[in-house]
Amino acid sequence: MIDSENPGSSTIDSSGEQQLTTEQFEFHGNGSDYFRIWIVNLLFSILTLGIYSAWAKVRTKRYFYGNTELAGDRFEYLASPIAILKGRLIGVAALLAYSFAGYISIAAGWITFVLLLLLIPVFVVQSLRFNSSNSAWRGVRFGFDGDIVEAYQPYLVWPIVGVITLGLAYPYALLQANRFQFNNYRFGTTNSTTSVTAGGFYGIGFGVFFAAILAGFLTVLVDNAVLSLIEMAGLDELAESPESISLITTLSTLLVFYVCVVALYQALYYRLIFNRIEIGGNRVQNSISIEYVLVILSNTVLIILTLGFYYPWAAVRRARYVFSNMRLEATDLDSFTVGEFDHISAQGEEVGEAFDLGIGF
Amino acid sequence: MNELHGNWFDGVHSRSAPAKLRWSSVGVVVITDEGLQTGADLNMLKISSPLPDTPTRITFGEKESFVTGDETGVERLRESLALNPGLAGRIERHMPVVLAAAALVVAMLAGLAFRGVPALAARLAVTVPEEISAQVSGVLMSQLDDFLEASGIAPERREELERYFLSHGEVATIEFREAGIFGANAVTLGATMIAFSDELVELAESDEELLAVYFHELGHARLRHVEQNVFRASAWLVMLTVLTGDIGAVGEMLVGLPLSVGLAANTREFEREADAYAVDRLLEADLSPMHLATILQKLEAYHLRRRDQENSTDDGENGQTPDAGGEEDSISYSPLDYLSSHPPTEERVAYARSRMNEFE
Repeated sequence: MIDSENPGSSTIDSSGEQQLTTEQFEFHGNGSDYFRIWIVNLLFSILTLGIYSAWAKVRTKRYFYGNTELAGDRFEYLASPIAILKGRLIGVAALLAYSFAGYISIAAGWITFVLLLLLIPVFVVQSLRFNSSNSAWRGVRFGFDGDIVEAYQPYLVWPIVGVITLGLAYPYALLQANRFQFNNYRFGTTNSTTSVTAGGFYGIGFGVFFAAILAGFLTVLVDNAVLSLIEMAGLDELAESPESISLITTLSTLLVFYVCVVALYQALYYRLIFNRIEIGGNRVQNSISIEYVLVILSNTVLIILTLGFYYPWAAVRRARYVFSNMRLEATDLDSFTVGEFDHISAQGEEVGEAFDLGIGF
Repeated sequence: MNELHGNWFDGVHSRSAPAKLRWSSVGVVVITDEGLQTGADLNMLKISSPLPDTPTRITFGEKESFVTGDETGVERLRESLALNPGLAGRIERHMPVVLAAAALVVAMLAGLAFRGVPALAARLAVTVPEEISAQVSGVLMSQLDDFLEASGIAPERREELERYFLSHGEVATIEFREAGIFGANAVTLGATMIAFSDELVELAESDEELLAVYFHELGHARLRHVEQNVFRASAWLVMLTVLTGDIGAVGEMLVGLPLSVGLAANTREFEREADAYAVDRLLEADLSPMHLATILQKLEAYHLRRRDQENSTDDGENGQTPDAGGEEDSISYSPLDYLSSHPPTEERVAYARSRMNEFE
């Protein structure tokens, strides 16, 4: 067990009582502004055959970070598009190598597969370092101190054990990954710590497992109900083929429940991890509820109905909901400092995020 | 007034100091509300590129930064530094231009998906060497064989048909199988292999009808439809991945739906091409295009019969649902037909009939 009581900070003045304030995260973005950015990103990415996507990513993240406020100040995303482009080129090269190796011979395919598998922890750590050191608040950068060698356990060994045990060890793998991340992040020179336990992740695992079973059961139930309703109403003579109705209802109910289960997992996950993080005596608090599932579900439906054009509003709506449920129980937010060492290394990791792994804050 | 209001960060402490930034033609000075002053040359400033409604970050050298939400003020500072907002920044500012960009994006994506990708796939498909096609068909056949039985047709009859087919057009391999649940059918597996089901051979009333089917399948093989399909599917997948990189897992599943609709549309287009090819070859061999029409009609009647049998065994209680003959036609017009892989039989028969004038 990792000691969660460790304040993990040397920068806090421990002179007497610390005053506790609750700082609410606020998201100020709006759909039509993000729509402008999104459409220009798409246009330029297509025109440049994908090269602009690195710049597009920076603009998107700058918009979302720049519109997230904590204690009066916005977050900042500082990555250079060139570093991201380099990382993406490496990622594409790795994937191409993998797909062509398979054509040369089966053995070559397997060797490349194993090599890529062995490289995953390297990519994960690179990505965590890159994303965190390019995120800042009040002019102070975040950082990640996790070691590549240590990353093999949470990102390779435990996931494999998870697969071998048919998912039984998978929550434990998630726990290891989460600890690796949140015990190694830092803001300035102050490290974050997490007090998550295996129990929390097993709770999520079982919750999601039973929700998925229930969803499968409900799909069959809804499908049958719709069919018999149609039959009762005598509509089956209007609609010529009952198979097509059945297919449509099955597909749409499956989609609805799939989205619900994924959203439920995310909500439970956020609630678990964002209530256990501490940094320099400040604690993150999260009150995401089942409402999150409704936000994601309605977003998904609207994205489908608008053939994708609702996406910018959906992304903004999701961010607004998530941040409206995030708070920081703050003791002192003014005393984080930057180490001398940081000025050199934080000027941008040379290799960006090789694969966009989507992990970070 | 050359002044901006915002917050000053020293880059060392996580303290935010409300401050004013003033600039002249040579330099800037930042004065915090507490009276602290920092100055710099104008050419040392770095200003983050403009984004709608997002605070601007102005940095001085290594550490210090000044953040302001005053967009018009920053615009003036940019002007005095002769910085332009960049093309993206300029487009984002004007909603009509943004909407034009959106229309352009839709047009380009549609053009790429419906013209670019098929053209590319057609070009690439012919470059696939026959050996690789043969390898792929071998794999596909062995997968199918899990559901199929060895042919029950007498070997002499099979050889006779094979000779007859090959005398009208070469293909590397012709296979016969008992198809069981799949019933009467024929498939093309890549450029080198065509397979017939016993049921189809039995359904046909003449060898000319079977030849018509063979020509249809040969059309698929010669026009490299299987290979084109593979290339189209992967090109679309790449497109979707590039486009939706940011959407996430749920989004990826959503974009999979149009992909399968697109593939179904593919196959219908390919069926038409293969029908046209079959009619051409029938005419070449001095045979009537009607052979294709009659076997298509027989196949449809056969599959409808099978479906009705299944339905009546399936729902014994609901047996009262009338299976009037008139309903059979309408089945091919159900809304989901857009998803089905073949064009309606009626349309295909009409096509064969329309080319009867070329036969005589």
